Amino acid sequence: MAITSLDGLLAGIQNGERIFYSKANLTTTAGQWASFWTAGGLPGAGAAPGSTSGSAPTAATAGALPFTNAAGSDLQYLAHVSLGSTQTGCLVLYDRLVHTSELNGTVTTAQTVNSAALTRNTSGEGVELWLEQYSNVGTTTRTATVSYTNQAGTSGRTASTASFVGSSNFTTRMIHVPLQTGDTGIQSVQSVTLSGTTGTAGNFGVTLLKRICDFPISALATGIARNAFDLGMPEIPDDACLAVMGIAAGTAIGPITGQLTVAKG
Amino acid sequence: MISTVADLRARTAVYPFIYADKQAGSGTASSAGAGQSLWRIAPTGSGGAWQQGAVPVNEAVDRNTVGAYPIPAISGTRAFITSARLSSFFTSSASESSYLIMLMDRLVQTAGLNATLTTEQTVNTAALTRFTSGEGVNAYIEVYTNVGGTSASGTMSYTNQAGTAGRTGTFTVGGTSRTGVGSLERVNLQTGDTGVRSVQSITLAGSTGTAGSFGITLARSIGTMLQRGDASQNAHNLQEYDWLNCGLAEFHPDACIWPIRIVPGNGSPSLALILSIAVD
Repeated sequence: MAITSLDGLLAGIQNGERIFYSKANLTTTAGQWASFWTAGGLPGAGAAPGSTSGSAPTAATAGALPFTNAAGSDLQYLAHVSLGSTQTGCLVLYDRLVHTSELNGTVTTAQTVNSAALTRNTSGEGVELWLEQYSNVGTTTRTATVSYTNQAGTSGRTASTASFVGSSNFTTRMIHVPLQTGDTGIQSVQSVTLSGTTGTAGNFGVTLLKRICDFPISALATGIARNAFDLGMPEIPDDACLAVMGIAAGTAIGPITGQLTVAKG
Repeated sequence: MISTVADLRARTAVYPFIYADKQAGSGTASSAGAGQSLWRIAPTGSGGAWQQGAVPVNEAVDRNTVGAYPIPAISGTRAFITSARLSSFFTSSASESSYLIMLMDRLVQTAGLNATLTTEQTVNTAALTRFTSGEGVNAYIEVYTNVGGTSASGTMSYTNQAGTAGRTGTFTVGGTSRTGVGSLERVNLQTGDTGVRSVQSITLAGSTGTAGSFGITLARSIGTMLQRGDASQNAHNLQEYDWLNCGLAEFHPDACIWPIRIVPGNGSPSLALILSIAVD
């Protein structure tokens, strides 16, 4: 089954559910990404997975926006979003596929990850690689090099970011790591190596995610309202661990309050 | 099930235009991101039957309660918002930022809690008459007489959506720009809980400085709409949403529809709300 008509969308919304979202603001650095995963509110706070190999979170994981799978062969789609925020920037709704933690900001040898297997988007196609901080590492900027297996199952691929993490660091920071040229996805991470100590151990890990939708919040609006056609009605996979990250124009992002409507059909 | 858009249009023709308005709030200052309740705001003189709600005692409320947005008696089991128009009149500043309107179903309300007491205060909310399990029901701290300017944290003892008693929620009351009538804070529920069936008591960790009066409001979200701001003083803004843009928000036929405003600053503009609804 799939929703293929306006009448189908109408029925799908009636058969669907509404997810209400409310998070307090996060202190950030302008132009840097922040994760709402460990922020309290509605839904409640998620947690660092607690191991270097991590886990594959689902809709049942604490911190995920709650929803239930559509019945039988029906699918679920994002059909409407209305969010208010007092800060401008951009919010991203994503499916949190795999997350790890317990990496150390002072270790300069290869830190073994061997991330948990993907349970959704298992080919890795379109999956993004991010580093996520749970407690602050030091402010000395280092290069982080990630050894991973790409969407074709080829291991030994290398991705790196030269901006881990630097000055003006903040807890909840997320850093996107561009993949090796030619790769279009990632199946797993084998290790992370820092070019030097950042000065503080902290706690960080790898997050593999698949974007569902972006919500820019402009200075004029301080919020967004989008219908199914504006959103492109993206499909939400069964058991998706829906979460939000954001990039702020200033030194804070949020608070965020609003509603997402999931249509099922 | 409303199976076609044509059917939706036909059903909307039965309830095409419900209008009511509220005047600008006075003394309802709010800090960024906090909520403002419109329950105690009086209607404008221009019409509509959206009266000022009474200060609660401890009761369940519905569409017939004075203060509810005036929805007519509905014959059916499901009701949907098929269009919404918001109009606000900004006067207080050279420019006004956008704000979010959250339409809520106000289920149970109490008042009379003292914002200076640090001993346990009994609440024992009236029983829910809709969404009786408590699933999706949230608890809010709502101010009815000004409390003090010192922020006080508190805990709420409640029974959750599964009927488990002794759960603990956390909240704050009072503090800068959160002292006025209508100031609203959502209670953070205990990890894992997805609703509130009843509230037994609250305990403040400190005094706000002024006793005032606040209470617990149990409510369930219906939908959210964004009202865009304007760079001009004395601007009259109209925002329109069709069924797609309000996500075909659904409400219980007996709902006590109650708007909450989430504002970025201290604005408190008037609000006219025009709804069209379809019933299944």
